[in-house]
Amino acid sequence: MVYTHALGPNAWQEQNARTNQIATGPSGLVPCSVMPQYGATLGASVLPLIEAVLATGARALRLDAEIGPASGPLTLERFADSPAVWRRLEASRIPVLIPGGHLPETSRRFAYDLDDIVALCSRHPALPVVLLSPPYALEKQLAHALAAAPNLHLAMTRLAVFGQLEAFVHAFGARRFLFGSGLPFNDPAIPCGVVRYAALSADDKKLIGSGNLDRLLSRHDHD
Amino acid sequence: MTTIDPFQVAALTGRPVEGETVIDVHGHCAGWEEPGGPGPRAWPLSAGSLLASMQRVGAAHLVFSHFDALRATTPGNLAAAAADTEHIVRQAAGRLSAHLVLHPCFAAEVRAQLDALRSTAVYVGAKLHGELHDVRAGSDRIAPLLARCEELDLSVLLHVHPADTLDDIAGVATRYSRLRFILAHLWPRMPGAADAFRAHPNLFTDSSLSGSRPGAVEQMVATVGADRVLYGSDSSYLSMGGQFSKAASTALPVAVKRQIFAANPCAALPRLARKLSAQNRPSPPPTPVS
Repeated sequence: MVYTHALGPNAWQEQNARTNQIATGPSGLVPCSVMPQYGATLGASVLPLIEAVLATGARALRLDAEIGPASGPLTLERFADSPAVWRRLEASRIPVLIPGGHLPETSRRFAYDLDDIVALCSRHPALPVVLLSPPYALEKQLAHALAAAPNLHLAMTRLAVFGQLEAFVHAFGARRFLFGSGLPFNDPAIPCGVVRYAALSADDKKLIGSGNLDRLLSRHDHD
Repeated sequence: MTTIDPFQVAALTGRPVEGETVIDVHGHCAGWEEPGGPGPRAWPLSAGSLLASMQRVGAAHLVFSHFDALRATTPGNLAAAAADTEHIVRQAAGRLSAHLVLHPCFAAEVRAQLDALRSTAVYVGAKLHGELHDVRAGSDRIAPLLARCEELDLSVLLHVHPADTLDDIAGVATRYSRLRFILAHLWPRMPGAADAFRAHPNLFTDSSLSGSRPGAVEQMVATVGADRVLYGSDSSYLSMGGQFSKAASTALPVAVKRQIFAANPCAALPRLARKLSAQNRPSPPPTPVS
């Protein structure tokens, strides 16, 4: 699953157009659209922008910061008509991906932390939320978040400490974890090796390797 | 004709590497068994967990430093860690050796441990953790211990202090020119590395690093030479599967991988080479794990 990066006001439009262009045909790439959070004018509704993105066939949305002089810290709840947006996404079971790099431990450009993500999950329990590549040093906080929010999932790219993935799967089940390569910034052989050599069953490894993402993208994340 | 790369095959299948020797120069453990018994723990520390991971990737031998020696805050901690190290190595039946921790706060006790070294049965190297113990490589606090290591041909696995520069490391490589230094974690990833390694044949580096850019190992090999990079996992801190896979999946010829996984560790750790030679075997291929 890929997205592209762009700069400037409303960069998400350019990002999504590029992503959809790249991730087509036999590339094997699945497009991940960037979620708009700001209208072109102050206070403008975001829901129509979300509807426009969904109309392009978006299968997953990613929170990404717009970079520009008027772009303050990205928030989860305080943009225009955010309750309606989250309800819309929850109703369509669209997975929402939140980069672990947004957590305040690594960046001050984002105004939310794990507690806010758990709160979002709790308010919208049918909304699948995926935290991308959280730092391994947040292990205990991540465990609390997973326990509190059954619809929260982790991409395991940086869960590369000895026995960490196994302990998480033992505690929360393999359905909560997705494979992430971290390309192009990370050597994909590391997370590949973490999963392939994990002391886990073949079924659990298949879920982590592809099954869970397939399930989330199919929008049938309920038993 | 395409040559099959057994390291790559292993990494792609998640199976132990077959027909090749894998020596891991950078590991840690404490205790023979997990204190709470079998089952996943948030951070498994035991030699048993380490050996199980070695079996999964097909590692024949690993050299570890004891967690409790690194974390010692009293001479008693250090002595207990030394006793546990001996117990672990003897229990491991030729699969494990140890680095003696050069703890700068207990220089007299460490010196006594060094003076008591009689064979390669337990210790084949030493570990200096500049960052954890806040000690620069050129510090007077550590100089007598490095000098003794040089006399004993006891190579030093050095986690470089964040403030140490390439010049600092070149300085100790010059002062202890017969002592081999293994610089942990693909150090140095900076300009000047090629010149430093060319000038100091006693410098090596290991491949362990929690997060690496794609191609980081290949770039280090190109910079410092194929005979200067060793395989290290930093387990049981980092995932052994992840670190093995990183080194095994590199876009390097099989011959270079054989250097990284087997020949270079023996060259950088002569006491290990003598021990393995005395054991008169590469360790038997591990039993595949289902």
